[in-house]
Amino acid sequence: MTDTYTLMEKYLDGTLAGDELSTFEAQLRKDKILQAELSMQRQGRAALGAVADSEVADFEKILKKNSAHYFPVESQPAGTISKAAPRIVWRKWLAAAAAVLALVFAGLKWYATAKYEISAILAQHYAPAATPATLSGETYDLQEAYTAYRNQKYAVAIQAFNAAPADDPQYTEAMLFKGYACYESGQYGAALAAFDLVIKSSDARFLHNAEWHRLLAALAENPKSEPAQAYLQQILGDASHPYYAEAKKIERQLKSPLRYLAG
Amino acid sequence: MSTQHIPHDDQYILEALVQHDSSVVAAVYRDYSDMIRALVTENGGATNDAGDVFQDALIDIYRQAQRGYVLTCSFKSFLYTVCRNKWLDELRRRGRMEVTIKGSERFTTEIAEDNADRLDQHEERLALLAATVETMGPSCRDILKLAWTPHSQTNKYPALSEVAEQLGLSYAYLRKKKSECEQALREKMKNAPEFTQLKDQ
Repeated sequence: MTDTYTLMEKYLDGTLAGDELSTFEAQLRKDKILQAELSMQRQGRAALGAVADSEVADFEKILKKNSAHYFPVESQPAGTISKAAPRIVWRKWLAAAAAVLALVFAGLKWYATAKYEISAILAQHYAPAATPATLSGETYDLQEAYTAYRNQKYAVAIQAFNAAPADDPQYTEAMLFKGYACYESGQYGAALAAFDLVIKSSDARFLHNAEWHRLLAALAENPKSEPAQAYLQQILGDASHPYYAEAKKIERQLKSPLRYLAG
Repeated sequence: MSTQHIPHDDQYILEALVQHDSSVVAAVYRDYSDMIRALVTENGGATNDAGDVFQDALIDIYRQAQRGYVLTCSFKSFLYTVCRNKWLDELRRRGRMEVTIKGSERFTTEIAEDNADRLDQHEERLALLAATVETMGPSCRDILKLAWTPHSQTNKYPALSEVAEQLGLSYAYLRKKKSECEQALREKMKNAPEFTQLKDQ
């Protein structure tokens, strides 16, 4: 049975569903300690992380639906002539239209930034292998480097991955994870070099993943650069490539007009 | 919750707003729209103004509820007080000299006034919370920062079990420790000089 804290985490992440969700909501309604705990977690996340304002627009839609019903626009009594000059009405319309346009533009801008800024695109497609296939070897041990990488201690991790001897059976995988560590710490040039080494090794286990992440690293450096475009075309030229569909998607995103709006 | 607040029974309404529960939103409109319409139309406004005030107030409440705001009075008094303050601001903005609201004593209470003030100050309290975390001992600081900071690549918050793994601690120990850290955080915030500048609850 899942403990309450875990259920609360899922609830906060919006991943609680079905019976678990209704049971949790019922408990939340009557349990003040749980309500206070939930608020603490929300506050902590809001203070140290961020709370997306994106959902406000959805919430406003629900409000507007009700507002139209409970606060109907006052109509002119029959037979009376409005003393309000038509110019004022037009001004109101113009102001409303300008506000709507501004809102639409702001919404589009937000959406474009959230989805089409290069970092957002890359975040959608970044897919490092979860764990190395093997962690311990005879002459070299990946464990220490991998642990540092998982703990986001990238400098330590990169140094430890570099310690892998070139003739060690784990060398290629060490370079792959070194590529991830460089990428995640923003060292895209070094990530490119590491992924290149993996690709040159022709180890079929890591080849496609390295090709894919080399593309992402090149795009992160400069989405318009020749190497980035060449890496993209290379994957697009091979319909059997496991990342072919992803590459198609990234190509669409890069060409989308929303990219210009994303800045 | 910068200090320990006991949520009012109506806290569930705030939670329902965060969850976009349209039936609760509809009930809020059904139960309180007359009250807010009267507040505005009896004090120099039109029905449209009342609708705007009502909607703005709910958006403010929603935003802060998303950020962990805790309600300690009835939702009705709270909503009325937030709407009244908004309408007073609007009257001032329109240059009305007379800015007292007739009949407001019917619905608002001292505790509702405090809640409305706290709503306005909630962002400042969150900033204080973030600053206070930085002043904590290294173990608490690491635990809270890891638990409350989303992963940079995925933008998802780590599960506590992941934090435990990352710190090399058992899940049970981390839960207990995190709870102690949160309690220590509340105490530190209560004693922070900046806290006294915010309206005490």
